[in-house]
Amino acid sequence: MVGFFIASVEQGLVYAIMALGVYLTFRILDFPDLTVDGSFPLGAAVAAKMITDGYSPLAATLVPLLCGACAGIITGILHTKGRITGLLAGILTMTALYSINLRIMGRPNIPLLREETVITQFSSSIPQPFANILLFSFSVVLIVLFLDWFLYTEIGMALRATGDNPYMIRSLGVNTDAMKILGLAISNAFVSLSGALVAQHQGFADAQMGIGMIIAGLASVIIGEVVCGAKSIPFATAAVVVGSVIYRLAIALALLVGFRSSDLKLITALLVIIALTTPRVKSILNINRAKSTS
Amino acid sequence: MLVIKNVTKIFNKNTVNQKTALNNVSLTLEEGDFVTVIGSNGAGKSTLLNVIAGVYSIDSGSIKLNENEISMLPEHKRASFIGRVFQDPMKGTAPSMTVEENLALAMARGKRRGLRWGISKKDRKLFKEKLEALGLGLEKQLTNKVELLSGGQRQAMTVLMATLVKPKLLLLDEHTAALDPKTAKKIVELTNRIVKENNLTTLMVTHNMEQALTMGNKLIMLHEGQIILELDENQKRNMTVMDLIEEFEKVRGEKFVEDRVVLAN
Repeated sequence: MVGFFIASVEQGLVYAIMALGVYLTFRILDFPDLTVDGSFPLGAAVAAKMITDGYSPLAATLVPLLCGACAGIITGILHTKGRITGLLAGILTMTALYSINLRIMGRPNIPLLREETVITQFSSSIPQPFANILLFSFSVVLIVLFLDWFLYTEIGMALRATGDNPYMIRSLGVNTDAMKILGLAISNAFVSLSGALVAQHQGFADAQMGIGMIIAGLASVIIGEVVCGAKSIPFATAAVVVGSVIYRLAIALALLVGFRSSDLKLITALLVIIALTTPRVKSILNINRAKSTS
Repeated sequence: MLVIKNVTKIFNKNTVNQKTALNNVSLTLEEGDFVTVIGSNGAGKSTLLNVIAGVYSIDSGSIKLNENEISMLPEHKRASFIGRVFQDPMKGTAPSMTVEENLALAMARGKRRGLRWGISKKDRKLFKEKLEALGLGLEKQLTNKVELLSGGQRQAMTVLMATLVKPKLLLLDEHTAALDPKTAKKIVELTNRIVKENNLTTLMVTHNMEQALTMGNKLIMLHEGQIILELDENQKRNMTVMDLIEEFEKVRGEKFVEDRVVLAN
């Protein structure tokens, strides 16, 4: 039972980095970015390839940040300069990345079981599972602090306004195209970093590991908002991390009660649907109640 | 100051929906001019403001501000020296950001935005003073989200934001049309005061003839993409709404039919 709990917290933390990226595009920029399903395995692929090729695990964890940023920039350029709708721009990059990821890895799957990773390096001095939790918490806190700082800077505020009211911020002299590209770059950098850490954590990179990632990220963001609220940026970013951990616990619980791992995507989708439609259902019920009493 | 020369704007060129919104329009504003723009629906009033602001590119002609050609600059670059207030009070402010954050965004207009904190202590003091001058109690709501404010409060904020960094040109696009009469009157007073205090060169579109005659020092009337009437300060002073309608009918040789303009106040 304790093991089950710890494993979920570990996963919740490492996937929280991805969810924070989704939060930045989905909530701050108001941009539904599907690039995530491609940039997550991109990070894993680059990390796995670099580790098996003998690069230092730290480099193999940080280079994916740049790769992910590039993926985000491409989606951003397709959307702003190519005038492709946001959803389609993300799908195009994601689809292209599937081939690119296979090219990077040279095969559909790279195992990392006997390789040296940031995790094996870290756990040589600290016993497991503390090493994992410490390493992932450290990364998550770093990302959260970065966002909490960045979103209150002049550029960060312009980025928030771009998602909130593009007409207004353009009339105040901000290039909204540049802001969208910047936001997508940062977001996908985090997503790729998360992919790189997940690959090292689970011991392999796989071309298929990005499927449904955007929905898992969304689920974390929404669960966080429901549980913690989103009064201000620091609240909202912390809520995403909490949401990610709760989401992983819920998934582990679903497995524990007998669902198959192949059912998980369906469960996740249902979770997001319920969370997104609850306000609507509530308002319909309220209207009906008002009608029946009047 | 602002020199618009032979500007033509055609929408949906070479399609069945082709429409000439501005037809060879020329207009000159001197430093400190406050020009009101009237005309019926579809006359090209908003298009005129939008081509100056860079929302639409022009098909031919030139737009010069202080001798510099600006018609090729993108909207966000022109925004560094042009202040704008829209008709929709929701359009000028970021709803999920706080009052002080909105003002800080306006404060950075025309400057390079970097990684400094978005709001400094000095800014906050200035915001408080400026908001106090509005007399709407907004100085006590610095950290409230703008979505909690009323339409009138938001429009007052937008006027303040458009002029917080003194613009070379202020564009007002029917900025009181969506407000109730009492609030509209307040915004008109506020606009007059801010324009006068800063000696701003201003172009204001309005549907309201009364407003067009009482505000500003010049008046132009647009019809079907052309300026059909231009009044200077002296001509304007002696005009009544009825004279204006008569003038319109004389120029156009047709009956003036728009209740909204006559009845609005």
